[in-house]
Amino acid sequence: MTGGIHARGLVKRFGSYVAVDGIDLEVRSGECFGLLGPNGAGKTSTIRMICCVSPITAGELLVDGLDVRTRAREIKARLGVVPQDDNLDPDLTVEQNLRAYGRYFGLPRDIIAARIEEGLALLQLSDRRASRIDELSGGMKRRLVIARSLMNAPSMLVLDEPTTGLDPQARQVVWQRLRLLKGRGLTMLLTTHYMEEAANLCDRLIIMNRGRIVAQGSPAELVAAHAGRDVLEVQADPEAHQPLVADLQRRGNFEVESSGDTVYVFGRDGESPARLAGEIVGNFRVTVRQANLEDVFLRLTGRSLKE
Amino acid sequence: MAVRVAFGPVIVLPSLRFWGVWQRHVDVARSRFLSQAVMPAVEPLITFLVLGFGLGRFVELEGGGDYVKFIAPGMVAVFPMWQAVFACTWEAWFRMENQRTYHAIIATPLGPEDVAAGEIAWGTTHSLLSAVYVMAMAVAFGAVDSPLAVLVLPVAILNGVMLSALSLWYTASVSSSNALGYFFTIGALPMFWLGNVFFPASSLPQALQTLGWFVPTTHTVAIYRGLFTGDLAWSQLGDLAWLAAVGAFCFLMATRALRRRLLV
Repeated sequence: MTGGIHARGLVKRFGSYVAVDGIDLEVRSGECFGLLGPNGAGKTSTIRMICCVSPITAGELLVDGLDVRTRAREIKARLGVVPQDDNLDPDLTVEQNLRAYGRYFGLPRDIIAARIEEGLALLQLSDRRASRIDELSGGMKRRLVIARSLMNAPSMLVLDEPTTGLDPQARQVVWQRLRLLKGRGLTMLLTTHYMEEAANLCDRLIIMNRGRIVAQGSPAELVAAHAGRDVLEVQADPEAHQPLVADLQRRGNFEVESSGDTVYVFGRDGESPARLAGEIVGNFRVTVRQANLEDVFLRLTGRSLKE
Repeated sequence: MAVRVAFGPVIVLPSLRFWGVWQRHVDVARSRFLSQAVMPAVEPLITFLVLGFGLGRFVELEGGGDYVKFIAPGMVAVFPMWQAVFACTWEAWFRMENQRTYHAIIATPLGPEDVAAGEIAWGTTHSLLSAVYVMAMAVAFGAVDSPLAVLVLPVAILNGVMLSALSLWYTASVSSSNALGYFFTIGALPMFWLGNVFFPASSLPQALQTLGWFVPTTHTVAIYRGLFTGDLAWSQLGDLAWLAAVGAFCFLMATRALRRRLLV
């Protein structure tokens, strides 16, 4: 199989701790694939194995048809990597950072120069080329890391939590740039714990928890299958949850979950919990909204993505 | 997390692309050149003046001879030693742990073995520049008697590689920056003082002389003494072999330590 990523029974152990517990993964060429899960789910460990910076403990992993165990250098030459921390060179300018990175790939000088221009233009950093790294905002640094990852004209981009720590505006800019790249046919693999990011960017995704895959499919498929169309949220003190949950369950064909200070009501078999909105007695804050991937995660694991 | 993971074959050689790492260091150094050049420029000069001409007036060497001429070969060995050590301990640590530069590099086709080669090449560059500078000073002070002294430069490269590799091996192996200090007190300082630089090693008690044999710069100094005066002996070939063997060993161990640390 060429192109994309193929993993079978992939395992990563750190001593006795199992970070990735035998997962199967197929990423097709040209798609944007997501790994969604809370911190500690095993997303970063999985990504690091794919990027060949972490040796696999067991299982099979092919990237672009090449085995990570034996063809790491070739794989790395084809991947673009956007890591979780911005490991930029603070002593170098924006442009110098890109040049240094281009050299690691052994690219000729003129190609490096051309790609620097393309990257700066694409990520809207052309007027910052001579800036030092500490002069950049968080969003700009992130965009620079993305520009850097494109220096080797990769066939696949791997992004580990691309917008964590960014303010909403910076996040939108990054998403927009990533959608542009996606539109150009670049295969993308990203990890995230933000459901909007997964829903916004990914064609397909897997949901991970504690090193295992708990669900896979497109965002729409997952939501329809596990959370329905609408969700009713009732904000109530944890002490009030038990009677409230029992009451809600009695009122119809509903699934009720409680997490933190909120009770969630999902419909079964196409029934919508929206009608309950007017029926709830008590001084609670009630909201009806569309179901999303966070609800899917909650339904499948009993935990919130945000933990 | 510190982990014992099998990391592959014992000997992993770098690719030629490691120069990319060296070039990056040059770019950084260019932006900091002036501030970085002060110490290596001033220290040897002051030492020559203060010890060579100052203290030297009170020193009587067995067999006569000028104290400046006595310390010159050692100076050409040890000041570059400091350069190599600084580059591959504090600076390397900072790049490795604080800036995460090494992690960025290994996401490209370069591996930890290339990072190691690049760091060692850089330490050697620092060291060689210092050697050239101190040599120039030695010549200026009339301390060099033989044209063979020009051979100091290739030996200086070997000296630089050995010391950079040794320092990097240590840096890649320790778990906190606090431990880097031990390298200076237990490693670098003895090199500075016990290596037959400022006084003849033969004046030390036998135990310390034996210890001196294990000090890397002792062998470099021995070779330089021969080259400066033109009095070469077969023993200096032995010193050269020592440097080459220990240098190669440290290079491999530094690579190994970096692979173990980065490929987790």
